[in-house]
Order: sequence, then C-alpha cells, then structure tokens
Amino acid sequence: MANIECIDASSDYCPCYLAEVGECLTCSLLQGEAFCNCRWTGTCIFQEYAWSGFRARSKRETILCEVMERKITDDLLILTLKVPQRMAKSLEEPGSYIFLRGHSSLSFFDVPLAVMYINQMEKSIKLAIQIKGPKTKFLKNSNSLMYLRGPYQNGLFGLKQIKQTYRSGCLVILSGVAQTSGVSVIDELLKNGNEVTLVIDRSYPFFVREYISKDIKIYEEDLSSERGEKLLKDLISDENIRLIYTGGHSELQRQILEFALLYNPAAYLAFSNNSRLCCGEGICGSCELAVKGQKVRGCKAQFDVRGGYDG
Amino acid sequence: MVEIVIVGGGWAGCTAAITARKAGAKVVLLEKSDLLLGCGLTAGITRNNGRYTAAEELKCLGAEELVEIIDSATGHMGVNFPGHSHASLYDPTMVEPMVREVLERIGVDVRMLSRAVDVVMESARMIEGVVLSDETVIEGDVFIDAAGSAGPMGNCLRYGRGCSMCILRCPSFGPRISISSRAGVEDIVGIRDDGTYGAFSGSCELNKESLSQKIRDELDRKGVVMLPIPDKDANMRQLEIKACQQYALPEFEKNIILLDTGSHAKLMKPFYPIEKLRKIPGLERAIYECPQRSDANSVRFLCRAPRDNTMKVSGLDNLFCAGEKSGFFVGCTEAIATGFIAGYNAKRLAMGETLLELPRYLAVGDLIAYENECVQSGDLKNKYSFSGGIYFQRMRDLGLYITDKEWIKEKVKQLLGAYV
Repeated sequence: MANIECIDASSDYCPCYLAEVGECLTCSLLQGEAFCNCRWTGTCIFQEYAWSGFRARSKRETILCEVMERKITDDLLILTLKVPQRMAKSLEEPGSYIFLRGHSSLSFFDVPLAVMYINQMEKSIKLAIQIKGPKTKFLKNSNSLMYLRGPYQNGLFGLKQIKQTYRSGCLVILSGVAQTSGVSVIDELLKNGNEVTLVIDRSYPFFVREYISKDIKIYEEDLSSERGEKLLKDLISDENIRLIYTGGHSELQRQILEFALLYNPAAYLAFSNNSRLCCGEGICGSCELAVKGQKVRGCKAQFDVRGGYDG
Repeated sequence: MVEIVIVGGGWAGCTAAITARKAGAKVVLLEKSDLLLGCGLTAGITRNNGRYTAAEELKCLGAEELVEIIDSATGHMGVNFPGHSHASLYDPTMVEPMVREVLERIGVDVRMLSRAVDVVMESARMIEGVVLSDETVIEGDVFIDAAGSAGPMGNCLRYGRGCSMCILRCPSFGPRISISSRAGVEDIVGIRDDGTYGAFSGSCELNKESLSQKIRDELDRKGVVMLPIPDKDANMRQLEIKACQQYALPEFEKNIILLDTGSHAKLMKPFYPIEKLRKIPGLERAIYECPQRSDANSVRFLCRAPRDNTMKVSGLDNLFCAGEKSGFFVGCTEAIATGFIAGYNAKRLAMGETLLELPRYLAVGDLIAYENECVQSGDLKNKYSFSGGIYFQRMRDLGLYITDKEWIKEKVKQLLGAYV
C-alpha cells in the first residue's frame, strides 16, 4: 500500500471532519479498526480527538478581507489582500493556499488560489488569478471586499521532500499561472542553503519575477519546443540536482517524472497540486486521486510522487 | 554473514540479540526510544516462586548474561511477600547501561531512536526488510518481532484510561506497531475477565524520597512494606484488570504493597489516584515517578503473534517473535526465555538447520508450549508467569518448580548431553 501522510495531521485542524466519520487518513482507530496501527510519529490523533470531545477540532475561518491593490494585465489579475496577522503567519509554508470569493457571492463561488507572496509587516498577501471560467470572472468583477477561507496547506505534493533538502542543487520548473506556487518553494530551498536553478516556461508571462531572489540562475524557454525539452533533460541529468519542483500543468509534470526516473532517479520530486479543489476539507471528493491504486483526497494527502499517481 | 534484524530493545529483544550474536550472526537491534529494556525499565522483581527455577535453567542453557546482570543489580534477596517467596528485588535503572555494555562488547549493532513503521515483503511469506520512520529500509535474512504489546496511546485511551506517559513515552518516540501484522499475519488479542481487550500494567512507581522516613527505613531493611488501605477505598476492582495475575491476590486488594526496587518504590497496583494514596499514613507527600498519571497505566496484550514452539511466527517463513509479542507472558524472566529461543532459532533458520524446541521437561520449555496450547484452545484471558497464577500452580503440580541450583544444573546437563 502507498505511504500516505495527511498534510493536516497534528496541526491546529486535526482531527478534522473525516475523523468523525471514520475516514481519517492516519489513525487506524479513526478508520474504524479496533486497534492502533498507524505510522504516524507525531502526537496521537486519537488522543487529540478524545480531548476535543470526540468531534473535529477547530474549524477554518471565513473572513472578510479588504482588497488593497488590484492589477490586471490581459487575463491575469493580481490581488493584494489585507489579512489578520494570524492568517498571514499560517500561510508561510510552501503549498499554502486559500479559497476566495466576492463578498456578495455564495460559498460555491470559492476559487482555490495559491498564496504567491506574503508581507508580514504589512499583513498582506498577494494572489495571482488567471481569468478563465465563471468563478474567476465573478472574482474579477467583485468589489473591494472579499471572503477568504483558510488557511489550507496541500497546494503541492512533496512538502517533506522540499523541507528535508539541505545544501544541495535544486531545480524549480514553473509554467503558466502555477508559477505562484514556486515563490515560497524557492524561498524555502534558499533558506536551507540550497543552490536553486529556475526554468520558466515562456508560454506565459513571467509574472513572479519581482518576488524571486536575484541570486538564482534563471532559464527562460518554451518548454514544449525541442530546445525546451533538451534543456530540461540536461538540467535534470545533472547529478548534483537532489530535488526537482514542478509548478505547472499535469502534462509537464508527467514529462518531468519520466525524465527524472530515467536520468536522475535519486532526486526527490515535488509537484504543484493540480487537483480540482472545492472544499479543501476532504469532503466533496472533487480532488480524488489514485496513488498506487489507493484512492486518496488530493486536498489532504502527501506522498512520494515518484511512484506516480492518476488524477 | 547472516543478518538478523530484531525490532524492539526490551528484555526479549536484547536477549535475542545476544543469543543470535553469540551463535555467530550479524545482528541489528532496532529500538524506537533512547533507552533499552522497554517496559522492563519499570520491572524489578525476579526469582520469586518459579522464576527462580527458570532463571537457573536459563543460566545453564547459555542465556546467562542478562540473568547475571539482574543478579548483580539486586538490592534485596530472598524477600517474601503475599503469595511470593524468595524474590530478588533489583534496580532496572542500574541494569540498562549494563545491558548496553554487553551488547556493544559482543558486537550487536544497536540502533537507538530507530522506529520501525512497516515491512517490505519479498513474497507473501518472506520479509525483505523493515521500514523505519525516516523511510530507510533495514534489510535482513531473518527477523524477530520483539516490539512488545504495550500501548500505543490510542489503545491505552480506548482500552485503558488514557496515556499514562509510561516508560515507553509514545508521545515522544511514536507508537509501537505490530511487525507480524504488517507482514500480513493477524494478531491474537488478549481479553480481561469482563471481555474487554488487553490488560493493564500491574504496578507503578513511587519516588522513594517522597515517602515517610519510617517507610523508607523499612523498605531499606526488608525490601517490602505493607500498608492497609482504608475500608472505603479497599474495593477498587483493580485485580481483574491487571496483567500480572501473580499479583492479583486478595492481599494486594486490601493493602498497598511497596517493594524496594532501588531507585523507585514499586506500588503493586496498576494505578492508584494520588488523592486517595495520600490519605494513607506515611504517604502524605507521595509522588509518582516515570512520570505517570496516577489514575491510568499502559494497556498490554493486544497483539500476540500466532507462533509455534520454536518461536517462529505461523504463516511467515523468516519471522520469529519474542517477549509479550509471542505470548501472554508477564515479566523479564519470561521475556529472556522467549528471546533466547527466538534468537537461537533465528540463526539456525538462517543456516538451514532444524529449529530447536525446548523439551517440556524444563520449566522454560513447558511455559512456551503450555501458553501456546492454552491460547490455541481459545483461552485469551490467562496470563503466564513462572511466578504465580495458573502457571506456577502447574509448575508445582508437575514437579518443575525446583530451587536446588545443583539439581537444575544436572537436569539441563542431562538434556544438553542428549542433544550433543
């Protein structure tokens, strides 16, 4: 069976609703088994469940936020939102995301958005939205107040792999609007003394440039071209590369996985979570994935993507 | 060289490691915490009743290292208390570093803070390696599951009264898992008289300095102190939940029995609320050690592996079991006995030799076989110890209970002669 860890295990939001219905990702007792049989090394989830009165622990908040700045170029909307300090703090980890909707919209208008940049002094967050379908169009038309629900953390698969990479060569490959997820990943990797090489797919404007450290080597290339493919192969084959993060569409991720398994099987991989996220709580099922045949919720599960998965 | 991987550094795992290493194997011993001996760190009573016979048998059979270490840490010899004769009270905290030294000296590769979380299977019946919590895989030829049966927290909460922060310290070092069950063999679950699962650890530890001078003096002098419990607190229905049936006698219900195990005073009850405890003269300022909740203790015996009398786990070709994992056994002498057979046979299996089954002519062999018989016939309630309960009665009935060292030596010698 695949080794699945829950992003929320032992967090402020654990145990969650899933515990109440015997669907916990981690605890065998909260999966309806008779005895302990977990791999989790953190605090005991069943113990936390008992102490919270056999109910899900604290729930995530929906808060009304002020839009401090709104910039639009072509189909790309960049919003700066004023948030409480607690919220800003809890969105620092790579993979953090929130749900956002206009203040007159109902909850099913919620758009899942990776947090691109956080200014702790100003208590603000920046989000990038590609205007594409009904939900994002409604968001574009919303006024200066918005509902934000969060914090959520599972915006990428392989958080553990990112966090345990120290003083090594790392490759970050970003494409399209998923570039947003790369900013905090690069920050985390640099914080741990890694040397980061960034590859930007030219098919979309490089809009995160101003949030990224100037000290890293950057390649800009059309990754669907032959030159782009060769560049990826060459960079991935470098044996100094210990971790490869791909923030981009699933086709690109499949290609990176294939190259990595062929040319650098020892490197850790991490991918942006491209699932359709609706509730973020493991309830709705829209993000369901199959990892080695095991069905898991994409909004909760962390696993080694080198084993592959079906979205 | 043959590689034997042992999961769990309690008495059973340590004995298995020493035995397999002495037989010439390369041995890796995995322990999740930062101390060896596991639950045995709160042990301290040996050589009481039939344990005397078993300890001597084990010495003669070649498992003398740990028995001798225990003897050397014994503070009181020949102590008698209700239902028990000639007990040795030893200090487990003194013993731990000594066990570590022996393991290092003979070349066992001891890996502390190494928590097993899963197994990798080579086939449906063969284990290839043990997965640690940091995802490294420890490969081996033969494996021994000596991970015990106590806890973890969820079990203590569901079948006990919550995590007592016992000596296993699951909140710090993570939960115990059942290796045999990860390898696909279903565990056998022990039950109490009322049908609920598991059993409580039978005793807890008090800080000696927190007891009155009079009690401390008496403990120093005699090793044992009995204090009557006020009538209204006397029936707390604790006997039926105890793992240690050898201490489930009426005297243990009506009295606080304290034993001097060196660093601690051992209180012979699974737990005793501190408010009630402090009403007893001399215990007004008593404090628990470990640390320990005074209204809870760890829950054990939820995961016995099905096995044969060579200690090999049924249904798997290269996994042995020892200690509480291998039976509803209570105590360090019992753990040493099962660990000895498991370690010895692990090496024999790896070399393609016939596995040893100890004859029932010895108490050690009979305990292992009798427990198996009882469990296979459906008895999930009884616990088995040389020191009391149904098994000590059996030892007396069959004449297996002997306290004459020379006689025991002669018995084992004849036996070994028959094998040579």
